[in-house]
Amino acid sequence: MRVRASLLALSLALPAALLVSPHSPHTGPSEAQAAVSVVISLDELVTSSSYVVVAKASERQSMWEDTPNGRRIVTYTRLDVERSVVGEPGTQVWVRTLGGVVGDVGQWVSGEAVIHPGERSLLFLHKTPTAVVVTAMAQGHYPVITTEGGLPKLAPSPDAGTILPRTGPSIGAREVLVGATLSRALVAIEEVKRAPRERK
Amino acid sequence: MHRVNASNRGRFAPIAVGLALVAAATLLAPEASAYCRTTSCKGVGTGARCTPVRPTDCGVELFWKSPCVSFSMQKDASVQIDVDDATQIFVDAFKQWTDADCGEGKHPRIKVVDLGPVACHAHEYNKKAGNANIILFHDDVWPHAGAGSTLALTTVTYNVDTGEIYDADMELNGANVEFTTGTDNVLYDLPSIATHETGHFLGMSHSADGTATMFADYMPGTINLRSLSNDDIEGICAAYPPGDPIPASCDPTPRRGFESQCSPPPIVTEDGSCCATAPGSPRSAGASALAALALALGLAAKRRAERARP
Repeated sequence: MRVRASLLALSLALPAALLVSPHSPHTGPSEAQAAVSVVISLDELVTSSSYVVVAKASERQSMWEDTPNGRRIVTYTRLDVERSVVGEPGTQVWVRTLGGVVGDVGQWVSGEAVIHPGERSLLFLHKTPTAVVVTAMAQGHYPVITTEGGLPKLAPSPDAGTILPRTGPSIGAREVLVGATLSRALVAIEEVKRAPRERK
Repeated sequence: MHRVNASNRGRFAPIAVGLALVAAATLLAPEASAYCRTTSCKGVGTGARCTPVRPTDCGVELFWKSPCVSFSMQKDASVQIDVDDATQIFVDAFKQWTDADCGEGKHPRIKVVDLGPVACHAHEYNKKAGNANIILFHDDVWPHAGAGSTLALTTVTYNVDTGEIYDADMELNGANVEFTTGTDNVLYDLPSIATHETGHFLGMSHSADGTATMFADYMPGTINLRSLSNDDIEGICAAYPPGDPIPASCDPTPRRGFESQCSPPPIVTEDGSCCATAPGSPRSAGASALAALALALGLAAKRRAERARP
């Protein structure tokens, strides 16, 4: 990793650390969460994604679906792509997430990205043979919020679950992205795109 | 056998400083007793209600209606841990919650029974047939997004109006993760993860109390989460207040009966009808099929439009 990239990550990590701390007033209450995940780095998030987009969720539909791992409720959300940072998904993309509400039955899948209609987000997406999904579930979803100063900043996905630090030194993507302005986050992603070999 | 493949040791040494800052921000933050319960927030999805109350609390709490609940380990368990040992870990984890001391020698009015291994190796909630609250390991392939990062996943099915939990299944990522179970060389401690996840199974959400088992973040390499903190105990005692002793005849059978196999045939009543109008039946299969067809057509039209774009 280049010195510039390291400094960028560190400069983003400190405010982000305060923002994503469970005690931070910015994170609000704990929501329904139960997945246990290892933190994923921004490098891994970018390289695992077919697309990285800034998009607005316009509609969603939940339904029962047969999956290789059983019949469950899934939710398809249509994203209107505002900007594509990685890949070319087109102007619209349907994303499948686990869980949702069908009739009077709700299914909560802990740690999955929960994308609300009307919400603008930075999303890391992975194309599977059957659907486009959010890379690393909630760790690949960052709603864009507007601060009092009018700056668009990234927030954590509302149902990120329990995220464990790694055994070795590394900065998680959410430490880099959460609390960062959208423009700085995009610069960080571009940095990752430009230096793929140096990361290995 | 005591390391997680997803680990990323030795990379990006300079950014260890950043990790230390993150850890410091977390560890130095003040503690507050603040257990929370998972809720159904209509029109939103799932949420939480906490004590003390928080501004964004919403909805009705998720809960098991019967004081007798069951779970079943998938019969193959994992190459890392056999079915008996895995079952015992979860029996112990549930006991942490059900044996909590609510004062005056009383305990939460809920018990969790092991119904024995099941064949079904999938998360499943059957609207019209028997069920099991399954705990299973994926040893070959993690079937969801986040294969390299997810250790465990719980799916809870509930009634959005009442909050009654119908079914809860836990999936553990044995394909990408090596769990530890002892007290030496601890890394990702399965008993700790089990105690935390069983809290969610019972309807608990994350707490702001940094000492709580239900705290959102914890450091791997410890076994601290195996036992409950006072905050966890207050939470479970509030969720299932002590009351009359649970009778021995209390039935822990899952919703619509116990079923070991996946995708069992629908239950048909004596008059030949099925259970389409019973609680838990979200909508007819025909409506689901129509919705799926409509969505498929929409997706196909979108793809055609994209192909046609210059």
